[in-house]
Amino acid sequence: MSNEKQVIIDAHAHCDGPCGVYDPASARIAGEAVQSMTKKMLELAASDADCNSAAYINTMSRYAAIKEEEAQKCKNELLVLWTDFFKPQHLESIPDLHNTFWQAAKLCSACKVEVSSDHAQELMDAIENIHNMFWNVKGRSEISWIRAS
Amino acid sequence: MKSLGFVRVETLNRIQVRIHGDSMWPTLKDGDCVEAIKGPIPVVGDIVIAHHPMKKMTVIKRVKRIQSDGLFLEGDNPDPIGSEDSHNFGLVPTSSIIAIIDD
Repeated sequence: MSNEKQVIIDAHAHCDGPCGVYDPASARIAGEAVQSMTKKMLELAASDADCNSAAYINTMSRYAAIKEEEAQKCKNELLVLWTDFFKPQHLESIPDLHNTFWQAAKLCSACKVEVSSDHAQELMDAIENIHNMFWNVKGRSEISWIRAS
Repeated sequence: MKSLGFVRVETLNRIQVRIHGDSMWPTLKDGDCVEAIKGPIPVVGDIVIAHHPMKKMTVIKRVKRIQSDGLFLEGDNPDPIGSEDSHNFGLVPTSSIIAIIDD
């Protein structure tokens, strides 16, 4: 029998640690909360409510606190995707990957320091763009963008 | 997890290796097929096929160092978390080396 016949084996060239579960949905949910809180703050400010009442101050404070917390959560989720999921080889097909995440992270910060419906929408648009980048890399471009709100 | 291992008898010298994953990027890409030779003693710089020391899995990595108690294997991917290798699973015994990529 020839000694030169070939056999085939599968060799794993794995990245990542033991979990490997990533999903931009986590950032999307936090981003939606930011947008929701921004909207509620603007609506409350435009209402006839007594802005000196304890109830007004308490409600507005809670909205601001949740907006702050969710914006930071959104930034954390985006940073995990950027620094852990995406690898140097992905820059070949997504050359603007770094700028996309940089700008998205900055929008998280903008949504914290402002009450801007424009920036809240821009953040959601950035997360949608990252959603598409992510699922294209995973070879599952059929995963559609959805919103809970 | 997919079952791995030899498709045919192990006594043959030359084997085709199919790559799964990107830890050897940019040298080897996901889906590449390369030829490997069973038998040679690996030296530093060789790309080797080895049994994973902790899992029922065959891995492909580059020999970074050779020590008396085993080989330190490393992926080529420059991302610090781009490869599960000896940084994670430690030294690999020489007896776990299956083949060397034929360059």
